[in-house]
Amino acid sequence: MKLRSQPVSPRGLVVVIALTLLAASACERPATGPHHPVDQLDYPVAVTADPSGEIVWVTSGNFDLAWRGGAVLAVDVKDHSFLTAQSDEGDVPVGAEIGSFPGPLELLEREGRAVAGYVLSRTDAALYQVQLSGDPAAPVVTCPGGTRADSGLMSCPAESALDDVPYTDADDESQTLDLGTDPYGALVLEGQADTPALLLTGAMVEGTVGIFELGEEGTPEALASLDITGGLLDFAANPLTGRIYASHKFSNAISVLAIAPRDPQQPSAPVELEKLGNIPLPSNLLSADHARGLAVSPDGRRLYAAYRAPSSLVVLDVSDKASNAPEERVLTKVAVHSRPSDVAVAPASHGLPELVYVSCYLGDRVDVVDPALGLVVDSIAVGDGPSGVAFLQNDELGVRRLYVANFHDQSMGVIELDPGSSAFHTQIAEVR
Amino acid sequence: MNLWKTLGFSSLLVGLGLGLGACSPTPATPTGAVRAPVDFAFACEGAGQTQLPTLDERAASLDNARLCPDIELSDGRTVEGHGIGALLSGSPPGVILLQTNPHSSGGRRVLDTDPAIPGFTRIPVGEAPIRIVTAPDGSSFYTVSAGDRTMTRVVVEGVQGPEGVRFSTDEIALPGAPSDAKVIGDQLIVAAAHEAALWSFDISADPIDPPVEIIEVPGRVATIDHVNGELILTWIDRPVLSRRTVDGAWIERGLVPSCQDGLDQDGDGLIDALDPDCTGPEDDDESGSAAPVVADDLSVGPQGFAGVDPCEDGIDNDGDGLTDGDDAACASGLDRGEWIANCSDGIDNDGDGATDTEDSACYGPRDRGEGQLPATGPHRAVVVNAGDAGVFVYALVPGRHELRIFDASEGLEPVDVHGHGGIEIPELTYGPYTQGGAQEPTVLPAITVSGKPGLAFAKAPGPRLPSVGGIGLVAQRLRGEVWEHIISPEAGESQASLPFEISGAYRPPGCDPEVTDRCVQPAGDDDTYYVYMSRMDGRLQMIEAVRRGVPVHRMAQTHTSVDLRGTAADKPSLSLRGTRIPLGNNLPDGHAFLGPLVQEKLTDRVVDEAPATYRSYGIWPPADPELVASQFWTITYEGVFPEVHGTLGSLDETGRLSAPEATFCDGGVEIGDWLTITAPVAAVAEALQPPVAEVLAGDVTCATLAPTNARIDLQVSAVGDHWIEVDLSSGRLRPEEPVLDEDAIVEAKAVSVSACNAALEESLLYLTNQPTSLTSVGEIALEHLPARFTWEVRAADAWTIVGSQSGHLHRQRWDADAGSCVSDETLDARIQGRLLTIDLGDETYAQCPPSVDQVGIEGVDSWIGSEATSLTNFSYRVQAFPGCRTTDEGLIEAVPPQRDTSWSFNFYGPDAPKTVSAQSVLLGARTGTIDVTRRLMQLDTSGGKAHILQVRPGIERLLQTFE
Repeated sequence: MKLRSQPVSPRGLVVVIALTLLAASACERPATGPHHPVDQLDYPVAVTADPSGEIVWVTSGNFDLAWRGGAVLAVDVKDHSFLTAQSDEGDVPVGAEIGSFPGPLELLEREGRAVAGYVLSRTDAALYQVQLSGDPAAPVVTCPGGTRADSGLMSCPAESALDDVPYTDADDESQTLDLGTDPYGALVLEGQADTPALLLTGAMVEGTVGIFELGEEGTPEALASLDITGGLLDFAANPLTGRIYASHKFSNAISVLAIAPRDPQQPSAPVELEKLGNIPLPSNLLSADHARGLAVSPDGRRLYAAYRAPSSLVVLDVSDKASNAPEERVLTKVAVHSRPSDVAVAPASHGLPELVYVSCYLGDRVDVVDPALGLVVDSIAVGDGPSGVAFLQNDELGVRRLYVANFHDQSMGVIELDPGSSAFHTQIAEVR
Repeated sequence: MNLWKTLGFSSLLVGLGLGLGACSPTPATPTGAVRAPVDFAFACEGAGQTQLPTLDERAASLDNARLCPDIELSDGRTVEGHGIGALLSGSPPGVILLQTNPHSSGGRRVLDTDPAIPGFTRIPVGEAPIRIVTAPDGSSFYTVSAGDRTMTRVVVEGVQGPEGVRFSTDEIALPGAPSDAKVIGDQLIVAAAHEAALWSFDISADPIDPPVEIIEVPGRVATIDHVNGELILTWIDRPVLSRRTVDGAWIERGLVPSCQDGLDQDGDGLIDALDPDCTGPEDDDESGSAAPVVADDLSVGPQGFAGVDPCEDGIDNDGDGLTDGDDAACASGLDRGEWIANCSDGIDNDGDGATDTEDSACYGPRDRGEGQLPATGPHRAVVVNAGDAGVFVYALVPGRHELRIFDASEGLEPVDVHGHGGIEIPELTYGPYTQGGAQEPTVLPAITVSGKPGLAFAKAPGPRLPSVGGIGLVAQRLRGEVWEHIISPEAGESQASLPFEISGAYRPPGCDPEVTDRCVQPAGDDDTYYVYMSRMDGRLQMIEAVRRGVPVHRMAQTHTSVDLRGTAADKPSLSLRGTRIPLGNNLPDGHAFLGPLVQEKLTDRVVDEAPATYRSYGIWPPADPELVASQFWTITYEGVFPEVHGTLGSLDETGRLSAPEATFCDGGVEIGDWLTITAPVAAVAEALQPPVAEVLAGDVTCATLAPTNARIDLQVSAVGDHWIEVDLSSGRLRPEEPVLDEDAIVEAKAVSVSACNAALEESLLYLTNQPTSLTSVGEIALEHLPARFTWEVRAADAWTIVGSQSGHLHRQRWDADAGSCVSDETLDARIQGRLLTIDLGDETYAQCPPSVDQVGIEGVDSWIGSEATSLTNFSYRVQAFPGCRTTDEGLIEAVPPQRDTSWSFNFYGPDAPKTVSAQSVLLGARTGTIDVTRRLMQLDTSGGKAHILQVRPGIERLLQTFE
């Protein structure tokens, strides 16, 4: 009998060391050491498109613990430079230093602009929040208890981040919201006319979902927590049905959540999150790594999941049941390059159909899937270890691009998505 | 984070699995050359270019059969040409050449196109290739690349001889991005992914720079196949199967119900939701004579009794999941209406620019959903051209977990795979070859393939797909069920083998050299066609399209011996009003039941003749197990008829309730059944207030909360197609299940909460359906009811039996000409789904709950007779026994069943669909065929392997793995 073993690659070694340090590190970030640089990425994990259409936020992971913490930094989509803003203190970097090993930045949008951002830190098991003010295209970033480093970067202290948050439950009992171990994914749910905006946080180990109400300024107020399934990684919300989907690394099922209908007798009662069920994903591989990034199509009919057992994009029908639709079910699985991490949906435009972009961590590529065809229709070479992806379109600027956090390359790749461009589906820039 | 994961633990596990696989005797060629195979094509090595395969019978066994003719090399030698498999690799993009000969002819291996370069060298093609096809004359391969929008013509000039592997390529630009490609005649047809067009390249006129004709089509094409040159197409954004005839006409059939397929079936110029004959997206008859839509002005708000505002009544009036203030129509009007259906609220709920009945997803003003119709693709289709047995198209509809089959002999006619009375696959008779005299002929017995009448009733379109789902289809002729050898198509029936005097010539079964020096293949031996469906779990689902020349269209079966094809039932579970009641091995007190909770053997298995039979938990086995389709059954006392319920109901002054979205007669509703109206207590008159259910703990009345909903039963007096009439004088009130007011109980201090809980549990068994708990209210005035209410129709004094696939069986149908609901007594008596409870009369149980002795198979026979009040459908026979209770005096009395007592179970038929696969295949959508030789090329895109499978019926095995 012959066993095949896989040699540990340099990239694997870095991650091993970093994760070992994570496991062994103290709960809180050290207060000493150099601050995160303002013009450099350190193991970026995620990218987030700003609603202004002029900024891309990069979450810098600090996986080698070279700095005091990780960071969220803003990049100008026009020239791919790290942004600065005009503040009372002069020109300051648009960004903030946070805990290490952070997750993606989630933004709260009000009246067409981002007013606050939220990011979880796995080292601190805490929730960092930032406020954004001033020019939406170059906002001033502040945070509770924050101070400016010599570089001007706003440094958010761990003490001011939220963990073990006290709250009062529906029965008027005092409770503590524990974010859980290894919190990573988050989701902002925009409020309706008389319902507040909500923030959901997810912990990878226990599968704890933290539920926060976001106040006027975007300040999170703990409401409750809900334990679902372990390995909780990412969330996606269906804009049409309001359902929330959660992926799990350790399980071949997608959790289906919803905000519970409010008791009409108690209109001021806090909102509750309930789990409606699971969508099982066909899996034939003995694996400890299943679903990763999620995204919902703009029309709310399809859910896309980056899946690793085996490496594929899973396409699910999640149409509105009110129209007698079939049960939520898997439509197809499309084989992609090794270890897909994240997905981003580019809506139909410019003569192109809706396309799904899948970052393939071990393949150093972004595979392009036409979900209606069930085929990989292109594959884009990117940097080493692509992780988070984000789609941004700004018709005024003539920008239609995909941004990719290249984890091992310590860069953010910029991919042209304008089909009229000669550089269509090519990485046109790297931000380091 | 787990360190092992970072070290590639999963890779280690996969490696272990691979290693175990490598212990098998199946040859593998581990080269690391195969990466992400996405498609496959085949040709034979030729002189200077490839050529089409021919067949050769000289080999002694199928494994050694040759496909490729001899060729002359540049050095003058004549050698056997190699079989050339062209494996299309998605990433890195390229063609990997495989030598696919049997072992006797040089073996199978991956061919490095340039051994001088370290590593493996493949033939480069455009980015993101999706298809590879063989030229009509076999002289080259063409690949189609979506990334580069190019085609690459690959000519394999040779693989043997002193020059080694030689090839050349030419690149041809495509007008746009492709979605599929197929060689049809002399044309290479490429589908445009982003335009409503096909590009037809005349590669016979010029293989390198072929002229292209643009064919306009009514949509963006997903897959291409053909029937005798007529295109068979599926679409990217249309759930339709289409046939384009040679004169350019279109024949189209929906792959989803007629009222959502985008086709105007009845030719009235109105399509789907815009056709008033369509009651909803699941309505499969666009021409149905729907009742005129009731002039139902839903824009007028329901007043409610005493003016109760529907935005404050505590119920979800319009069934959209949002109640009162949560329903934004009650607040700001930006979201769905509370008492107005989405399709009449004047709001563009789904933001698609169309409002209410202008929205193609709105089937009339009562429709709750203005949202998008469900996604059902990507749709795939494959043609099975079975010669004299017919031509068929198999179409995959993943969103509905269905496979739809069409007869394409002339047009595209749906095939009813369940509704036939039985198909006989003929026997095969052949004689073994022996020296010196013939032996008795061997007979492969005939096979009877039964239809599934229950599924035919439900109009199930085709074989139900497994839950793992299908992602690709390929059709393959399987030549030779008995004869192992390949038969040359040129030989014809009368000359099907080489003369015996040729040394080493194969002598197939059925040859008697005393009689002839040539043999004829048994009729039907060469006429089997399978469809293989790639599944998401890596396996290939085997589907018998045609067997021995007879179309059957069924999943290939794991068990073919009749004595292994029995039925089985899971132990039923019991619930009351939705609450599961735990069961041990004894029946619970007070609940009606089907039989004892044990399995009782009826007959033993007889090898080759009959399976063992059991009465399982009171469920008797069917007379003919072949009629049974595995499904989940629910038997509910006074259950709701499926799809006969709704919101926004209202009664007119004649007592008529109209609901265009419901079908009453065709749903099985009979006169005497109950219409149950639910409305909030604040919305009904005092006379209709629900009775307060009393909970007594000893002599003390336990405090309960005020009921919130009123439930009123009215008896159905007339049944229409989309309406019923009720007898307004038949009203009876049904009490709501009580909820203890624990605060009040504690405050009163007259009895404990636990005692009240125990009393409540006891009373719930007997409370809500006993005659004494139902209150007759005489004539009901309409003004006593809210203008709109939630409603449902239930069977009166009977159990409804509903199968997850068969639905609710009955023999009623609406006679539109006569305007009446009729029962067709000519239909099979097993089409029934309404069961009566056994009336014990003066009999009683010897103990409570009754023992197996009394209600087991022997006891039942002697006690009440085995045929006492039972129901027989196509799957089983079942009886419903009343429950029992022991009185304080120790007497055992029968207890009538409670409404919404429900027994549910899985009942399994004999079908066990068969799959085939190499070991540990991860994921691959396409499967390649190696022309005529009963071999498939299973592609494992995720696993980076390709496997040659032998798929002769009953002898499926793995021949080779390339990796």
